[in-house]
Amino acid sequence: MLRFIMNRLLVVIAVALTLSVVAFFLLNIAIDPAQAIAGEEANFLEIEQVRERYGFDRPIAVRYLEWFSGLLQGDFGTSYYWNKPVYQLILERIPETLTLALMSLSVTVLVAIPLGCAAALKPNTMIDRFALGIAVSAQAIPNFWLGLMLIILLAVIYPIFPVSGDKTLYHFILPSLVLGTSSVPPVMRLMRTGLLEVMNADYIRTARSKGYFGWKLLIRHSLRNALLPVVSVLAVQLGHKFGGSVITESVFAINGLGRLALESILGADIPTVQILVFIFAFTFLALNLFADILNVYLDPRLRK
Amino acid sequence: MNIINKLTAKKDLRDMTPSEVMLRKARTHKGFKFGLGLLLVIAFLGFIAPLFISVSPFEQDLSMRLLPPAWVDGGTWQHWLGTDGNGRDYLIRILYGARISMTIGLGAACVGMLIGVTLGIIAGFFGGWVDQVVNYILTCQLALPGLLLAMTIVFLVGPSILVVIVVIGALHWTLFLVVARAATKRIRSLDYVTAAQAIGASKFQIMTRDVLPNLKNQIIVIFTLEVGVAILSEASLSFLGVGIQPPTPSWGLLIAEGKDALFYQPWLIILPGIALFLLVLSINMMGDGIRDITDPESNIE
Amino acid sequence: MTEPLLKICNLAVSFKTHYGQLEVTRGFNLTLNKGETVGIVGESGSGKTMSMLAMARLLPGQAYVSSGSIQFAGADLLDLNTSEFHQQISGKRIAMIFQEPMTALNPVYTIGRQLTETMLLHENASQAAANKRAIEMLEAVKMPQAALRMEQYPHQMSGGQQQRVMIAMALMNKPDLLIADEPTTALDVTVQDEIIQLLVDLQIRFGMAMIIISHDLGVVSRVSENIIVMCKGDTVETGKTAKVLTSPTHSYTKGLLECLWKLEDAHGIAKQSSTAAVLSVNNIEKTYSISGGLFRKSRTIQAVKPTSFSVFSGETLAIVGESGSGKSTIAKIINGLISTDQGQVLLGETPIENMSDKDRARVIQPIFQDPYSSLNPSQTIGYIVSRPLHIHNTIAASKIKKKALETLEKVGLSSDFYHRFPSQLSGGQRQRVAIARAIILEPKILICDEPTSALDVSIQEQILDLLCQLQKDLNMTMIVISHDMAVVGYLADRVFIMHNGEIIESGEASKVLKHPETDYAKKLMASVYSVPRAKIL
Repeated sequence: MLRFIMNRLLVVIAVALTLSVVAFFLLNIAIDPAQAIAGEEANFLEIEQVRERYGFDRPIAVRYLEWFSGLLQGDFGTSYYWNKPVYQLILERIPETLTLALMSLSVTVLVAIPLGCAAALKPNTMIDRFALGIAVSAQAIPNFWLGLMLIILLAVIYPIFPVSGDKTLYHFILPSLVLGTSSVPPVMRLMRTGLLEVMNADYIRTARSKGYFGWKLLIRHSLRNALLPVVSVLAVQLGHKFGGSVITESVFAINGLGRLALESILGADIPTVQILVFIFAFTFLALNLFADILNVYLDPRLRK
Repeated sequence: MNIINKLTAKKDLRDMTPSEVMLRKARTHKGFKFGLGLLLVIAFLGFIAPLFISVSPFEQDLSMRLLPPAWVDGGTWQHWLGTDGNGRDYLIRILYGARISMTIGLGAACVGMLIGVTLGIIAGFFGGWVDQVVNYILTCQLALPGLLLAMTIVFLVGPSILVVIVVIGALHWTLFLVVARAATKRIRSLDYVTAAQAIGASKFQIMTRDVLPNLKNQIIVIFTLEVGVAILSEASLSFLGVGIQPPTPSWGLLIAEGKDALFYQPWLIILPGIALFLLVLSINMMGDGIRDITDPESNIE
Repeated sequence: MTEPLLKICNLAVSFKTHYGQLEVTRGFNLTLNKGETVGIVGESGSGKTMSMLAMARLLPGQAYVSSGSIQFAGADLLDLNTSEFHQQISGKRIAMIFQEPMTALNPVYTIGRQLTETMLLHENASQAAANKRAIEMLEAVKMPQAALRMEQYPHQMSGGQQQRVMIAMALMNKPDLLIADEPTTALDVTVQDEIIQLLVDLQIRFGMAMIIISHDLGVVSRVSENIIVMCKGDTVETGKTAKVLTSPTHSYTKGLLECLWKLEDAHGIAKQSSTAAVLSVNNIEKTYSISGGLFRKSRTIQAVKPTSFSVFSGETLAIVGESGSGKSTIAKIINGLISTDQGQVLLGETPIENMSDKDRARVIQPIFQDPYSSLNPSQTIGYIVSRPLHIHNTIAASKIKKKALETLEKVGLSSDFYHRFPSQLSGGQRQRVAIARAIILEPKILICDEPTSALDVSIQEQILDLLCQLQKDLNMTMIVISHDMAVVGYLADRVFIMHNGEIIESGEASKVLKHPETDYAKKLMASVYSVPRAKIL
């Protein structure tokens, strides 16, 4: 068990390292950081001055090592665009993104899992077709458009919810619905096929032959097995929500990490973008590791 | 129906070649037929219909700004779906948008398929350290925040249709890889591959004759679904302002432009959104249909 | 006499399909008294399992009982609603064990939990009482270290142990009737023997009635006094086992028995074999290592310990052993599909690793166990059979189709098959195609890995006959890998018995099969049930 975690941790670290290299090199080669700081109208001389002052004239590998060692010591660099330390920018925005991610995951779980179970228990009935219809539609609806439609319907025509902003939890309800919906199709489909497969498994036949049926059969013998693959997918989806809230945050004007990312990109703010890429990747990897550990806990076959 | 009929019907099925079986399933699959039909209609509207309409999607008429669709108060049949903020005809802009969405969707899915299937077959076929390297690349790709990266790259390289296609494709190959690798591994362990090795077939012959034809169907399913994903990605990028640039009429861009008129002219958002929804829906239904049709386990409905 | 425990009258099971209903069994009758045993025998698709699943209400979704009645201990089971049935009957009075013990136990729960819940569900007992009963039952099924097993998970046990757990679980509530569906088919022959013996003992000890379903006449004849023979959904014969087996009345039963006896009788058809070795195996050795990542020690499994032997031109050599004995690894090494760690394989004079894939292919060809995975589903039969010719270019392209058709004819398939796809063929026909593909290059050696174990008995015999005929006509040497003594007896001139990666006994087929010397070989032979003989015709 410990060995398994150590192995996975090593992979996480290696991948995170690779990605930090990729992000750094990609951004620093694509944009001239000196130009970005000096501004659009700066002349050649001004740019060269900036280059020397910030040390951009040194080889990129040296700059990467400097940046990375800073990262290890907790120095995330300074934003050119906001003229603030990057860690401060990020710390300010984490609560919004975290709230949105967790609330939308709850939406996904509350919709997808019961619906998937119902569809699997009664295949080829009305409820199954209804669930499939939901999945197919949710998969085809553009996320930002759904957000705008909900705003038009539930904030403008029937003013139940606020149009945008992030002052109270109430403000997060519409955005969570939008972001949560996008994860419903994969989770629900997996829940449905997983449970269908389990219900056809030999050990369910055994449980039936012992006298289990109905809810007891579902709870005592099917659910845990069917949830095993769902756990991993939920982790992936939460990772996406954390990093992929760019659209939802910008539609609903929530000041989270996603909006920070968009603004940094449009402002060519390299230090912020590279830290954000790194943080999103690392969060994703950490969540996956957590899901793997949870899976080992739930599935004795994986324990050695 | 009586039992005899059933038995003869069943016998028919056994006598059919795999492609006959699929054709027969396709003919009776409602979702597939609906998806394919809708897709053909949209393709016709996007690629053929504009040839017969003399209005240009770029022609501005500032005296006709922000007209609602014809069936709403204040609308005119001169502009069936109204006009946008610059007085351009909305119908023709939406029709051109279909062209852009479909081109980018197909192009990006092709790029993704090329990367994913190649890596997947290689990893699945050779296994061992090759597989581990590919797996490492996969983990890296999965961990990268895709949309963020796409935004950054498009923004930095400069937006054009080709760039958007390549970037979206280069970020959407993981599903191809996972499916192709799993299928290759499974096929590789089957006896017919061993038999091919035993008769002296080369690795290349085995990959092209034994592996590829048997994972073809699964790849087609993923391809269809990824076209839908790519179309939505393009729309998102354009919506955020880091995809297709104005005045090209991409649906995502139309929605972004219409956002300013959210409160008094919601049609500008509703119409391209419905178009986007219908296109992706038709593609996904077709994909789900192909999955059912090519699955040898599924019964005919 | 009192009322029978179970009386099934005219039971029919049907499947709902798009075209209407499809009857899978009809007119099934069965009467069983307390403490009696009945065996139901039939090939796959004969409906033998369906009728029992119908009784236990375990039919798959689309299947339903379309007519008939099931009287159990005075009540009509079909009148009970779902909850009544599950609360009063299943697991309590009727218990069942299944073919695949590995998949029949829930992988995520402990053995203890799965055993005790059976009792807790039906009786108002404490956990402690249930634990006590579970350990008693584990002891009853002769599970070593019964108390320790309670905390284990299914994957930590062998197949035989898992099946013992299944039996213990079925016995938890001391049922009146035990249904055993192919209880030993998935197990190795030596384990099979122990489980059958155990079932017989337990039946007597607990006074249960038992229904045993099997495709293996040997197993059924050993366990039960009464027998029902089924074929394609119909009951073709019922009666006392001894009587049915000695004087069968229905042509299907007669045919089945003839096939069996023919297989058993065919020992040592002495063939002229030369002393020239076509293949020599010198001290080969193969170890697999299972790597465990950076922080885990890798484990190694020695699949083949140092082994040497020769195969002579024209003979049939059988390598016999249970799963994990290393016989399949040897087959793969000889076929050049995996390399050895030590030693070498000589084809004639040339080491196999020095030969190109194509050269080796012309000398040696394999036939596989599962005809459903050995043919590429996306190619036509014509392509599959002629592919070796295309690869080797030994004959002109214009003659390839003619040669392929000739070869199909040799294996008993008409030219109609040329344009068909594998999905349109039955298991036996597919195996013929696989044979055609193997012989089209006219190889010297044919390696048959369990060539018939995926086929029904009546088809097995046809395929074995075909192999014998082809061997004679084409003057081939055959190496047969099998766990089935009947197949070995039918084909082999010489036999090797393998156990844990070693050849522990070898010699003339007639000698090794009839008079084995080593203990393991004796145990292996003793576990083969022969069907009691009598003359028919």
